[in-house]
Amino acid sequence: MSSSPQTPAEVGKEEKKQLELAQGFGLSADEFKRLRELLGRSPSLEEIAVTGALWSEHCSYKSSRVHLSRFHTQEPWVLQGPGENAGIVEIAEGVGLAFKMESHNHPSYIEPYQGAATGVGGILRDVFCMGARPIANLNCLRYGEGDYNAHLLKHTVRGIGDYGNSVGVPTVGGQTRFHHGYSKNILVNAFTAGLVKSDAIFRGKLQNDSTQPRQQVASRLLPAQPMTAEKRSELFPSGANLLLYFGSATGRDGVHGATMSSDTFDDASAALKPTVQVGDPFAEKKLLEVTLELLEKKLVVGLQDMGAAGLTSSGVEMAGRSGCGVVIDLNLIPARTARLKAFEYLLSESQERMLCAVTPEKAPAVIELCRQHQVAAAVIGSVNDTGEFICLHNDEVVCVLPVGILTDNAPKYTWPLQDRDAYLREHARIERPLPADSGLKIGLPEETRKSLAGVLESATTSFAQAWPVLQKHLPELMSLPVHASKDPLTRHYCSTVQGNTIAGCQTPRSSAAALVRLDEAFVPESAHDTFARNAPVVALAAGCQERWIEIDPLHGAAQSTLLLSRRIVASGGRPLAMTDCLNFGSPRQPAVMRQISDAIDGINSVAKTMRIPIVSGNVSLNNQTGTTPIPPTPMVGIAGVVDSCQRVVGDLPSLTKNNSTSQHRLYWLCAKNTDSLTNFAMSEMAWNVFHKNNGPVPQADFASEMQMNEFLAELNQQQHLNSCAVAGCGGVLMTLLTMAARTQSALAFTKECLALHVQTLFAEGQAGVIVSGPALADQRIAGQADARGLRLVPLADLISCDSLAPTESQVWKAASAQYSDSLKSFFR
Amino acid sequence: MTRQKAAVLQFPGTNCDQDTLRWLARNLDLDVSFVRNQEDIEKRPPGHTAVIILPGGFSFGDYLRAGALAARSPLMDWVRREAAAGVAVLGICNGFQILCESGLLPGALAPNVIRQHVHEFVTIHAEISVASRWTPKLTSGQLLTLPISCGMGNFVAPRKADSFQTLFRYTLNILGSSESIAGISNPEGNIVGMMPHPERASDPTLGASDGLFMLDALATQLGIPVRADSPLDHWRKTKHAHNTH
Repeated sequence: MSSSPQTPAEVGKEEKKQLELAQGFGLSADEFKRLRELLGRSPSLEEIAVTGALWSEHCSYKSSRVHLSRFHTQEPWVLQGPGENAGIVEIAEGVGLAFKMESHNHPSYIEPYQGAATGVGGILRDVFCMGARPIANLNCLRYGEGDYNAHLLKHTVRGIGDYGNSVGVPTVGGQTRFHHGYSKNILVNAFTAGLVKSDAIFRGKLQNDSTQPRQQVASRLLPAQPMTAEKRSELFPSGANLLLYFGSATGRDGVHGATMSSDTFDDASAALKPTVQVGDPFAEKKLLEVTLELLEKKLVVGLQDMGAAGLTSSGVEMAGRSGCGVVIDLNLIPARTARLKAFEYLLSESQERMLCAVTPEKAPAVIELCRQHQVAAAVIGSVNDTGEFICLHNDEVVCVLPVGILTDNAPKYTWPLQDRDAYLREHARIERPLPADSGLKIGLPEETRKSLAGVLESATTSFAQAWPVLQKHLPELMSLPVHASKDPLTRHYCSTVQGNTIAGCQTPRSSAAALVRLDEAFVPESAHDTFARNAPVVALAAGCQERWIEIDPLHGAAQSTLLLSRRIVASGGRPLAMTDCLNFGSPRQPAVMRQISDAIDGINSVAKTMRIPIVSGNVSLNNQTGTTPIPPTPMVGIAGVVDSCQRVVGDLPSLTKNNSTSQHRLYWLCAKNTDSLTNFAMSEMAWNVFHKNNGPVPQADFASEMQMNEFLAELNQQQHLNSCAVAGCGGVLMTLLTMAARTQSALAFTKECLALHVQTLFAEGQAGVIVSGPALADQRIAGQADARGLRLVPLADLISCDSLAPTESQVWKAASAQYSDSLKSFFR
Repeated sequence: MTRQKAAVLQFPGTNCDQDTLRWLARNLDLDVSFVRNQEDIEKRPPGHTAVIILPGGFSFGDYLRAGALAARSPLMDWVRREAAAGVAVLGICNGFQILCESGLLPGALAPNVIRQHVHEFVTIHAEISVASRWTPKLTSGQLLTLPISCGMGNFVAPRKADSFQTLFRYTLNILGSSESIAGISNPEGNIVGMMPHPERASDPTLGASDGLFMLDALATQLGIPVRADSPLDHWRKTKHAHNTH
């Protein structure tokens, strides 16, 4: 600071300069003012940097917190709810399943390979830093159209695969969809689940007892002066827990990452490329092994990965949870670049790094274990009772911020919401432009569209009348990216490593949910002999139906979440809990805030009524370019359990893919009032053929869903279910056609099916499931369904193409080929 | 009688170690443990170990060539000595790459011709009238369905045809290997390397059991008892039932 007194003009100039600086670190003018008031002084550069990162949307949830607090989060089987690195539910006696989903949208658009790879790395660390061994990865991806999106598709998929494969965690499922609204803001959401013994769950804290600190030292440290031995001993009290850093060294990558992810895109976004982090899966694998061993040996007190806003957020979050203070000497941090500035140390998002608190006695053992695993480690600071986040650099105090300012006192915004009725009116009809005709093509050719429109226009056209036209266009329909086989993507993902995957990508068995058997290490030794056959199975499903939600965020989000829950049930399981990753546009737009608020309520209605609590989550806002937000995409991941391997239900009658089946009759199991629970006008088919969707989105009928769940569980218990598939994207008919394509078979429709309205067969919403099994022909079972308000409609037989006349067989074979090959061209 | 001993190697970055150990332990009455450092080797004097497996994964991140760094680690000197003494060695995927890089098997593994990591269940056929410690001498062809998961699985055969024998070939050669080769052994038959993963296809619950074919052969040749009620036990009974028809 200047020693001579400043004139008012100089002070004003100084303040203006500081404000510009603050804005560079993502703080608004109001937020900067708030910071000054809370501190009662001018913040230093480093303090502005730290505050900017922690008050960013990405770290503080400042625009969504008000709404997130409504979530239903507790049930007796929840071991850890929101607030930690991941949520945990009890999946079997004494065994917890930790899981969470997180977005990496902005980096993936700028640098798809590294952006997607580091997204996987980050979510893995969130799970294993709680002591859980990752057992499954899922990913939910959204792309738009055109040439750049073709590039993004290829490289994000490669990034996801290469990272997960190398670390050795199977990538078993997820959801990939396409919509023009993502062309300039793709979504890459990564989900990880891991297993942990319930008595070994680890949390991010700094000491075992929560203290009542508040012996603030800011007044004695500021303005910054050189360190003295006396001050040092005050900041680093003897006997206090130490802060220990381990993992990769720190570089400049990812500085400003959290602020970038909290911003909308504009023309300058390309300039952000250097702020994208670079992943090193080998470092992650070593970090995973050393972390789990440290926790198993109980060598550390608390642990947190360095994710968004790096060291800053991990240090502050742990201090916040423990109610104490921390001091970090930035010069002690292992660095891979010389002369890093203090704020660069603080904001770096270099990957594969952990921060832990250890007692002084155990620090040497921790460092030795890290050495054995070839992982760098260093003591970089200490826990103290100041309640402040204090940093030293070159022996000078550069940052002294009360932790409360960064956590509880972070701004919370209640942005204005558009009136619900006004929103619904404005979105009663959503439209798409003519599809792009190069690169990633996500629409139907114009002639096909017109021809299909002819048979789909009228609500009274029967399926029998429409089928000849539909059949003619079967190859084009099956090659639409949204319907086509995702095998060309998923063959990049190793889904069988760890040896427990029952149904995942490219596995012999397939199911409506991804299925991973509990690992042997998590059951008592006495059960090992029969383990392989009787172990409980983790069932996972993730995704979102963005168009329904755009039309009506409340009912759309409920229906979308219910559809995922149905996937768990169809696989033979019970849903236990969910995580969410809420991707939206800018909260400053009242329509977007309406979407956020209503989608949260929609998801929550399922959580409450179906008892599937929300145990972890992530919010990604500002997914928009200019003033056009992405379609509202609250991605949800549901974890459930199938009690035994033997109760697993596949989604294809033969249980194996690529296996021409003998005759299998497929039935539609749905509510008797299906017509009022589904809507053709909001379906994928209407979107592709008429280029528009209309509401209303039917309100979820939870009672009938519960009847369906119970009935399916009963059928499964009695071993009557040969297969169960969820009527998903494209309604009952596209689901049936996909089943035929996957088995290279044909369908012989029943007279009951041919008599249905064609719109009924393509309608989406609460559309039930498609089941098979010899016992389903039994009138008694139909009677049981009827008693529950459900009906079983025979739809079709899955038959071998070779049993048909050559011309007809040709169409089915072409459809199968289009289905398998459509997305291949993007991966050459 | 004391149980025969098997070692599963762990390099930093190996990630199929647990499932490979279980593959052995679940099916065979063997004393199986991991070997990851000098200390572990010192506990294993010559003649102590009967079986060594180099499992799959990304040893040392595979940032140079796949397997190149692991091949030059001290653990491989031990494997070289044991292999020379006739111990049954199997390298799966990254293990195969390490065996080739270390010269224990001839040839090399180049990037897949499709230039990407591929995970897929593939069909391979076992060659007839070739014997190794891990495969039986067949009189008729045998098809196996096993998963591959690799970015560098394209086997480039050495010039000298008598420096190895082919055990498996792909029915569809998507990786681009010389003569569709999926797995080989040294002429003596005790060192085997293969790209597909038998350990991931040895459990009917997971929908694939063909990997048991290799454990069956190993157990027969080394006289290792099969664990009762194990997948291999059931597999053998079914096979026997078929043969008597």
